[in-house]
Amino acid sequence: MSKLFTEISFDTKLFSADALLGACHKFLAKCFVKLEHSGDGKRILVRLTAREGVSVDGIEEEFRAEALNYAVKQKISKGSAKIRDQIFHIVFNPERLNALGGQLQTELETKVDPDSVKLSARLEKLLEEIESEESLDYEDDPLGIAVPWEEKHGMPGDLLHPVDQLKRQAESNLINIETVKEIVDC
Amino acid sequence: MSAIDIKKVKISNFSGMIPFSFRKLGDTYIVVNEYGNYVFLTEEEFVSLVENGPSALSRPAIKELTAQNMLFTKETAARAAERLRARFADAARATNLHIIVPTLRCNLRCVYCQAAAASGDDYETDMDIDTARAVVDTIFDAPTKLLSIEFQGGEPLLNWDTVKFIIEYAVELNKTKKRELRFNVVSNHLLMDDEKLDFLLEHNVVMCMSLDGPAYVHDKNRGITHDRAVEMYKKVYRRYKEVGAERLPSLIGTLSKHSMPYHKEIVDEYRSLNAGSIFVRPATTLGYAGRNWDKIGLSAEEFLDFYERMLDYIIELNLKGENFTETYAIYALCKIVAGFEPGYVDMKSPCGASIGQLAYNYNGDVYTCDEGRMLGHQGDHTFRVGKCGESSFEDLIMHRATKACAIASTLDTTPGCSECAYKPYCGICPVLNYYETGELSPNVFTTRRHTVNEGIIDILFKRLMIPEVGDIFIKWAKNYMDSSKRDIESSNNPEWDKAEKE
Repeated sequence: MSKLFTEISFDTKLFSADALLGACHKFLAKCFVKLEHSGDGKRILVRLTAREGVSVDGIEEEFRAEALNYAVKQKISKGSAKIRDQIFHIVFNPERLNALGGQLQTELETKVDPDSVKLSARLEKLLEEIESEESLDYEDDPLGIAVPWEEKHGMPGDLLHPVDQLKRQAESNLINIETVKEIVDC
Repeated sequence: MSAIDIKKVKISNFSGMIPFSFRKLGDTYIVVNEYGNYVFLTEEEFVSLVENGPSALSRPAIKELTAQNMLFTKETAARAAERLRARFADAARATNLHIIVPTLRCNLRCVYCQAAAASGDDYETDMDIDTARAVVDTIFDAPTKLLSIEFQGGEPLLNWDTVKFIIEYAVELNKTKKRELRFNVVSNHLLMDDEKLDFLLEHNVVMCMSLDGPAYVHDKNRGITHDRAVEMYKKVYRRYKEVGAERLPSLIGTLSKHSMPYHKEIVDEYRSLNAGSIFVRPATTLGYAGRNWDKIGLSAEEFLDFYERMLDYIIELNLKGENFTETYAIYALCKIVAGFEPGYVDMKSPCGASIGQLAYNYNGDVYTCDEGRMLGHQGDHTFRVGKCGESSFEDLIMHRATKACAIASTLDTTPGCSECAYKPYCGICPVLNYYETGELSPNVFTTRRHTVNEGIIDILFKRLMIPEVGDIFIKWAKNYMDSSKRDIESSNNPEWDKAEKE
C-alpha cells in the first residue's frame, strides 16, 4: 500500500514553483506528489508518496538534486531568453543579424539589470584579449580546441564548407566580400 | 549537483550565453546549447560557470565555449541560427517518404509482427490496380522534388502485379512531373525470382531484407527461413553489384528476447554478408508483438544493455581497422557532432507523422505513418488522415491528426523534453504513446522510448569522451553526411524547379 514517506521544504526565493513542478513531473512515475505553499508563501512543501512497488531508497536525495537541476535550468533559460529570441529572429530573417550588435546592446542597457551589462562587457573584453594574444593564436594551440570543428575533421560542420560559410556571411553583409575573395584566393 | 550553491546562481550569469541545458554523466557535465553544440566540463568548471558566469572560467574554457557557440557573439549567433534552420528545415518541406502496403498477406509468421499480417490466402487484403493508381496520383500531389516510395507489408512480393504497376505508373507519370523518384522494397526475399530481380534492377529499386542474425536467432523469430533468405540475399546482392547499382541491397533486423545473448553473432552475420552496417531495432508492442510481449518483448533496459554490448563490439572492430557502422548511432551522431538532420522520422521534432512520411494501406486509406496504419489494422483509425481518390494532399496535411501529431511531438513544448539537454537530438512518437498510454502526450518519463533514446545518447556521449572513439564516430557521421549531400545534389532537378516556379 502507498504511504507518505517524505516531506521536503523549499525556500521560494531559491526554488520557484515552476522549477519544483518540473522536478515533480519527473517523479510522477515513482511517486504521488503534493505541493503546498506555507501560510506566508515563503516556502513550498513537497510531499512524496511512493507508488506501490517503488523502492524509496535515496528518492529524497534524488528529488533534491532534480529540484536543483530544474532551478538552475530555469535560471539559464531566463537569463538567455533574449538571445534565444534574437536567434529565432535571425533564423527567419538573416538580415536581422546586421542590426544585432547595436540592438542587443540597447536592450541590455535599457532593460536588463546592470550586472548583465557588466558581464557581457567583461566577456567581450576577455574574448578580445584572447583573440589578440599572440601566445594563444590558434596555430600554437596545442590541444586544437580553437580549431573550428569542420576544419579539424574536414567536415562541412553546420552543413557548409568553411568557404561557403564565408560566402554566406558575405551575402548577409557580415563580412566584406573582398575579404572572402582574399581568403578563397589564398 | 550537490556542489552547486543555488544562492550564487543568478539569472544575469547567463545573459551573455546562447541558451543551453546540461546533463551529468559520471564526473563530467555535458553542456548542450539549444542548437546541438556541446562541450564537456569538469564538475569544478560547471559549478564555476553557473555560479559565476562564463567570464570566471579559464581562457581555454572560454575559447572552447565560444568555438562551440555557447557564448553570444555575432558569429556564434549566426552559426546557431544556421543550425536551428537546418534542424527544422524538413518541417517546411512536403512529405517525401511514401510507404505503400500492396498487401497485408505474408508468407511468414514472425513472433513480433507489428504489421499484424494476414494469412497467405487472404486475398481481400491485396491492393487492386485502381487503388494503386489512386495512391500514386496522391503521392504525386505532394509538392516536393524528392519522392521516395517504399513498399512494405505484409510481404510486398506476394502482390507483385500491383508493385510492378505502381513502379511503372509512377515512372510514366514522372515523364511529365519531373520529380526525383526513388523506390525501396522491404521484403523477406523468399519469393524473389529472376523476372522480379530484372525488373527491380531495371528500375533502380533499392532492396532491403529483414535479417535478425544467424539461423538460431532469425529462425526463432521468423520461422525456419534463414538459409533460404540468406541465399536469396546473396543472389540479389551479387546481381546489384554486377550491374554497378548505385545502391546495394541492405539488411534490417528486429530484436526480441531471443536475440539478447547474441550481439556479436548478429553483427558477425551482417559482416559475413558484406553489409557494412547494422540497423537493429527493438520489437514494439504493436500488432502480434503485444500479444506475445511476455515471451518476446524487451524492456528498455534490456535493449540498452544489448545495444551497448553491440556498439562496443563494433567500435572494437573499427579500432582494429574495419569499417563497419551502426545506423542508430549514425542518425544521432549526425546531429550531435555536426548539427546535420539525417531525416530519420523516429528521432525528429516534430516527428515525421504526415509531414515526413505517409502510409497507404492496401485499401487506399492514408495514415500519418506506418505505426498509425498498424494501429488502424487493430481497429483504431485515430491516425487515418484520408483516402486516396477522395483526399487531396492538402487534406492529408491539414487533417487534425497530422496537426495533433506535430504538436504532440514537438519537444520544445513537451514538459520534460523542453528543458532536456538531449532535446536537439531526440524525438518522440505520439502514435506509440497513444497506443501504450492512451494519451498523445503522456508524461514522457513513463514512456519506453524516453528511456531508450536517453540511454542511447548517454552511451554515445560516454564514448565521445574517448578521443579515438570520438574520431570513429565523426568518421561515421561524415561518411553518412557526404552520401546524403550527394543524394541532395543528385536530386536537384532543374526541370522540376522550373515547373514549380511556373
